[in-house]
Amino acid sequence: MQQHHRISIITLFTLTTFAAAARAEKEPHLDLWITASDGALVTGGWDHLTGSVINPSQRVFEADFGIDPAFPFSTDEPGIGSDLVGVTLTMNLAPGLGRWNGDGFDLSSAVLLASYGGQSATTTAGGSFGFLVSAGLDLHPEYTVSGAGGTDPANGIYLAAFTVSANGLASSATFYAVLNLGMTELDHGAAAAWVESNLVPSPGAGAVLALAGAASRRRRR
Amino acid sequence: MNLALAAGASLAAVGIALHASAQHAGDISLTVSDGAIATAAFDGAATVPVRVFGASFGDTGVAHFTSNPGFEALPGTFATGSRVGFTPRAGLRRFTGEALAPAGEAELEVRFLTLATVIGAKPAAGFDLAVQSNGGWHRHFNFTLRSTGGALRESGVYVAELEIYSTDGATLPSAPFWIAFSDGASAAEHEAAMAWIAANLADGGTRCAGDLDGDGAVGAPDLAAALSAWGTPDADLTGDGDTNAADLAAVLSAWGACP
Repeated sequence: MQQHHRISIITLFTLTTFAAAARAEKEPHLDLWITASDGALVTGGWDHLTGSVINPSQRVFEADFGIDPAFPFSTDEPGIGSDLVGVTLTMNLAPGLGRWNGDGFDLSSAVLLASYGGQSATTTAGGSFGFLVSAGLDLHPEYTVSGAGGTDPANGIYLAAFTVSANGLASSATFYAVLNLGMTELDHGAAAAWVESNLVPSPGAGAVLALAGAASRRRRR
Repeated sequence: MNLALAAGASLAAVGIALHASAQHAGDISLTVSDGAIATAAFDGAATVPVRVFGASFGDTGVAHFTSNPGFEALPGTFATGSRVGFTPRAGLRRFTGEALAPAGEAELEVRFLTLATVIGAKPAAGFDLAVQSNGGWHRHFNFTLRSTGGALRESGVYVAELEIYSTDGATLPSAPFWIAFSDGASAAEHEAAMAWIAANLADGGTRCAGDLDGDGAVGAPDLAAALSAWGTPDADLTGDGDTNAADLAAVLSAWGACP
């Protein structure tokens, strides 16, 4: 067990160091790219400025709440691009919102609301919203986190799990939004690296909570 | 798809752009030139000055709703810590096939999260959003067409006239620009509306006070429009929210060709 802890610490240190080096200068996060391959939806990382898919298999997406002080608990990132013109895509938000504990994610009492065009879904019970892919799609759903009972949420790094589905295509693998509220970019990078290492590939959104629970149990020992 | 290809030389000089097919080409590009904000469009190869833009409600499957066009200023365009926003310069108008006319009961909600404004018969105050930490500004507002009364017309082209401003205290606002939103209109009607705006408003502008039908002159049709809008805000030229004797006087005093 001690060796396990040692490996975890070394891994976390390595990931954190890597993340810190990568963030010496803060880089804009990539948007979500949705395309199809072999009859299934797949996600990637997209730079909308250049229209380039930078990482064709990306499943972890980072964004920051409160970039605009007028909306401290909201963001409209990551945006969404797609080349599936004419296809109606459905974004499925899994129930449960994780919160980074430095060593994994705990299930949070906070709630994430994702909305677009009058449709919305929350992490309370999960839900979905849909949109038709038009030419040049550059969609920005809105994401707002709130504390239990509608109070202000605590600072932290929050984790939400999504899939995307469409008629005639197999649903995507689970992908993740790692959303930073008031924490350092170093912490944000470490949390995203943890998700990349531990949840991708994953059997499904349910793994988020399972692993969150496991992380919590390990931390309490 | 880019109407500039089909338009005449005067239109090309002003520039008009429908929501284009390339990934980034659909946004309204914002630049700062000679100390003022300028609107432009990326045509796939270069950024060219444009003041008339197109968009379509329902383009993502939600009726009477669109989040296009977006706005894109490249990193370094604006001062970090400042804000950039928009100001509606006129009430919402509708293309009649020959000119722009008040949109009647239709109004346009412009929303970003909890901030919203409604452009109805008269212009309303806009709002601003923070410049990104890299000096860029990429924003998509949510535009919703709705009615204050009965159902919306079956189809139409609705026009918002806006300008973009910066709060940095040094950069001047943009020249007016127009977004022509198609709500179920044919492509031909949409393009005709944009061409009309480019020729009559953006390209030097022939609109003047009292020219309610936008035909470049103040005459009997404008007088008739004012009378038919009596007691409503539809032909309010004085900004008091009502069409009344003061507006009639404004029409009569501007009688003749626009300067």
